[in-house]
Amino acid sequence: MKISLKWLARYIDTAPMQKDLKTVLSKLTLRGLEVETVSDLSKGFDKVVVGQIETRDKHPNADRLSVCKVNTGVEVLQIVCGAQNMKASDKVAVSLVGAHLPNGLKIEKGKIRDVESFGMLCSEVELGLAETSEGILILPSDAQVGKPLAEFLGRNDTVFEINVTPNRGDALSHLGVARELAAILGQNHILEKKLKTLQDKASKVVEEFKNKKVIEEKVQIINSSDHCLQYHAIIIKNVKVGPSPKKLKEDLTSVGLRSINNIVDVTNYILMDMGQPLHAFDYSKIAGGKINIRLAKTGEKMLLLNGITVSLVADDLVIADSENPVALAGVMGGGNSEVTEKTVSILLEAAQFSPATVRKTAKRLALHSDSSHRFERGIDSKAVVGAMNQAISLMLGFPDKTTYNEEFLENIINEDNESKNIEIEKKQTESIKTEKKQTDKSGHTISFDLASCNQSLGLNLSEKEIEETLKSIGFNLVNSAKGTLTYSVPSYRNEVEIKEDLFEEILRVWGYDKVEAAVPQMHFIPDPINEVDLKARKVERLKNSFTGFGFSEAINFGFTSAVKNSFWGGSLASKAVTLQNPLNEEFGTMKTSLVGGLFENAILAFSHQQKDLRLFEVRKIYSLDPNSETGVQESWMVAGILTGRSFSHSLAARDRDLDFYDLKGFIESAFESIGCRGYRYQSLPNSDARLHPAQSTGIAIGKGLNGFMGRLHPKIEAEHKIRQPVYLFEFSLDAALSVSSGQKKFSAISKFPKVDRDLSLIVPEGVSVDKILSTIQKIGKPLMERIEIIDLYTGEKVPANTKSITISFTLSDAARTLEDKEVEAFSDKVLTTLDREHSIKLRLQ
Amino acid sequence: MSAINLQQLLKRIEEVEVKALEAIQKATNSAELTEVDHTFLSKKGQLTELLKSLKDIDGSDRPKVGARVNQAKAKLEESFNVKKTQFDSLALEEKLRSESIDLFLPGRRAVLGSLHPITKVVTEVVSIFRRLGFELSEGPEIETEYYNFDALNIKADHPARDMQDTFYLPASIKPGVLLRTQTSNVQVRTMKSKKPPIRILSPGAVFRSDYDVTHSPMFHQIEALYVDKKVSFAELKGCLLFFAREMFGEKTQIRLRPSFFPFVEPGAEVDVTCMMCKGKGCRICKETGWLEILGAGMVHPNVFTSCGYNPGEVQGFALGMGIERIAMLKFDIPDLRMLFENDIRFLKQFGV
Repeated sequence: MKISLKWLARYIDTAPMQKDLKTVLSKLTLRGLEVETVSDLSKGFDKVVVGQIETRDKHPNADRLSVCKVNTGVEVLQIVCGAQNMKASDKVAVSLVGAHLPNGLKIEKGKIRDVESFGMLCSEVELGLAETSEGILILPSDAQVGKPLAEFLGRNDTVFEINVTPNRGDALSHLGVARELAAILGQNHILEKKLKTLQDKASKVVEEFKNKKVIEEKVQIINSSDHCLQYHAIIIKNVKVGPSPKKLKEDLTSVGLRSINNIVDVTNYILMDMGQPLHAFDYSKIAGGKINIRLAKTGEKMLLLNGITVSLVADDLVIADSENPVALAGVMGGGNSEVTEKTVSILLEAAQFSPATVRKTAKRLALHSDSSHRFERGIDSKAVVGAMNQAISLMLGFPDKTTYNEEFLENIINEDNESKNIEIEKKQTESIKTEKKQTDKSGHTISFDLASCNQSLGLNLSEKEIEETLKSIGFNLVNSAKGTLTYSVPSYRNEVEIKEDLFEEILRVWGYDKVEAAVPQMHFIPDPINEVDLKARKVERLKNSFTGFGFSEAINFGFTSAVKNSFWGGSLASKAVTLQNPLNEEFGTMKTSLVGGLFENAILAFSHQQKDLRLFEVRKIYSLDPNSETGVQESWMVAGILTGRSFSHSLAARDRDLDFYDLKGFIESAFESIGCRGYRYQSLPNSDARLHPAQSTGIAIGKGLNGFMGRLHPKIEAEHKIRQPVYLFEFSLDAALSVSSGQKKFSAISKFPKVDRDLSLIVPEGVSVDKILSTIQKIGKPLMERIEIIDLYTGEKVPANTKSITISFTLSDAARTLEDKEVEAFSDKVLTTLDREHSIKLRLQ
Repeated sequence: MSAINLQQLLKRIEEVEVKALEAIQKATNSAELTEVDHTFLSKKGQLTELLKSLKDIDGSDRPKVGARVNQAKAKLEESFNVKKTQFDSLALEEKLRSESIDLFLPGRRAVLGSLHPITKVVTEVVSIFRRLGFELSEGPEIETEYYNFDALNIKADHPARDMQDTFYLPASIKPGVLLRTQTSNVQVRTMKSKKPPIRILSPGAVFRSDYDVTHSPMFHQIEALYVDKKVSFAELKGCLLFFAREMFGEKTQIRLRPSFFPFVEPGAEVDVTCMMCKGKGCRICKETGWLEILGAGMVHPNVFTSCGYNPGEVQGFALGMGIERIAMLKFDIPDLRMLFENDIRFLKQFGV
């Protein structure tokens, strides 16, 4: 909400603000009306004045330039100008030497084609008043020569923008913000007085015109719905629709509104001034002269002011004439009853609609207007008629013509008819009155216990301190008995409903800073072990393992495009969750695998010549699950991508490219770091297009296939012109944690010599190393301390279709020295078993 | 061999001794010294040879000669050893010198990765609140409107619902299901599942339909909730101050401003002393000296009611913050989007 300092003067004495704006505004912020920006509208208008061209002559050396003599009130300056749209006697905006214009231009004394120039005649663009302009700005002839331009344009003002939270609908107007400022500045009495003066004068105007019942005409209002809390309408005849007076235009411009015409501008002015939305209809377009407030018929069509035709539903509240809707209640007026220059009489509406009803319609049609914004937050139910009176008085003028707004006059009233032809009729139906009692909260009270207020806030306020605090913002004590206080809530603060709301009011006025920070008196919570917390610690450990292996952690968005997910999403891709309203197609589908995002990260890295890359990510994936509460199953995954050199440092003579076994080693070490042992490798379905079929494997952790690792499919590498092998992995974190055990137990360390042996074996093709190792381990239990593969060979030195594998192992016993013959017996048993089960022979040199 | 007399023999010994000493002195390197050893002191050396002459002299004189030879031998050996030690230490020095390496070449480092700045901030916040006895709690990222809004006093017909632009799932999957817009859903789920006292922390990803320089459609929050029989606003302030000092330094101050979050009342925005300028005012804090980093407040009675608690019997506070904002401030990251681009040159800067 933009607030004009000049405008505020309608309600308070702004002198203290002009003196120290920063301090006052920071107090406003500390009371919950956060001031976001402050702009001085006259910025850049220093040394820019109204001037009058006395003569305009051709430049002696340039056809397109003119040399003007310009009167600035103080002197007559010679100014060279390139524009063509001015003539002698025109009033213009003159920037004097030393001016620094809003568009950044600095004005200096200069010579243009040998003719001296002492300033510049400005265009609207140069003054920051418009995006485009033709020629220089020609001012109206009544502009006073020598007057600072800012003052003439009404820009001698400061405008600040307040971030109004949804609970402070009252602050969506100058009056509302003035109320808060009055409380801060101790000016409540000034505000009350100024407000009363305005109200009294407006009532007088209205009364006066009511009494001059020259033309009789009644508006018949039928309110057949529960959604309209009050509705008032009057007719003003013989209006002259045209441009607004300068002052009105300036005020609206200062708060960011566009001037439309004098009638509409007054309604907008009142909206910004008092927070009451009003609407003016062209009365001649109201069929039957009747207002019918009703719910729309499903499928009913309506053309709106913004030119769009909307189709209505039965939840929409409309203002209709005897036939069709003429306005979408509280949201937007209809296009057919719009006030135009041809309008001769208007019907002015002031109403209070149900916030929920307005919200529903505005939201459904995505029509967010200044009017709906205020109705949704609730307006001051007691100020509706007053606001209408203010509007009438602005349109018709105060009879004594002494007021601030006298300039608004005459433009609106058709001069020939004067006030005689103006008729005002007001009617309020009985049904509205009844309904108001049921739903309007205004005038309600809130009771609370003084002790509980102090306890809950951590303050020690007396009854009197609370009373003074609340009184300053319009809450009055209505009863006090046995420590229970009852306060009335002002009609403009309808969001204050319960005692906690009132506590906030006390606190914000008393000062959030006046509460002393207290040491929380927290009880020990003897809970059983928290699984989530335990899990988080393991995840932390897992992340630390990966960073220790040289991986950097990535965080990608949880969504991707449907196309990408169908390629990268793995086996769950067919169960992907789509969004109803994604930002764009790229973010339309929730990921069923993390590797696609990591692949994109790798492509980005390659584009920056970063070829050594190890990334991992720990994040959720999502898939459809009709049995779950939300229809979606979420699972935590760990994924990674790696490529490039193994060491990647200059002194590593052994440097080589990462390969599958690096990948496998990283994963296995990571599993070990969280105590995850219950996994095995399992072949993947052939259809996985992401992976090299011969260099990838599935991982089954606990139950079922829930991970994979392997090389990126060479087709993908080729497609993206990747010239180095890239490896990917992904596994279920949930599964890894479910089979991980943190419990470790001591096993005795042998004091006796251990025995190391190597066995070189000739292994037929197709026998997996896994099997050999597990066979030996089984035989070796419990003596087997270590077993590993130290050499692998295929080639000429071994028979065709076989490979040579050298296995090295260590046997030891905690209680004794192993005897040679025991070891021999073990080796023999291993060899016979391997031969029997897998036709594996000892390799003879 | 012709007989020689004692005097002659002693003289010979004397001569050998002198010659040998001279040779030892003259030796300029280890090899020459070895040569001296060979010439004079070895089994076939001159001194040993002289001992062989003992048999030619009178028996009564033999001990004298023997003693003399041993004396000479001891003297020579001593001298030899001194020299040898000299040469050995020179040789060692030479060897060490020859083995010198360029100590200023870079070390062969292990390849270390890095944790994402968001993870680093979450870890830090969690460790601070763990000291106060808060423990982690989690909830789904895809959530029902009830847990994300209704139970949190964000009613469907209230404009507060618009404060967060929400991604919805199609009604064909399940009506009223959305991507959570805040981690506060965890509050409700936790309170529904256990009795107070409760102290939980819930970090996690949240989603809002907003994407520009200062908004990301996915971002992270962490939220703390404390519920007990009596909890005051002053205690909330104490907790916030403790957190702010642990997180941003012991001189950090906090400033609370009234604000509106439907699930708390009273509600507050929490500013901390700008860590860039220490409160003096700078570009980062827009010359105010304060940075807004948290939202907080006393749990709204309607939230307690939704969770099956009696608002007359319990009180509590909740506080929450955006992780990205803190990460940007803490690591001086200029652009929110960098956090989600995963440019390795960016990620590597934050270390393990």
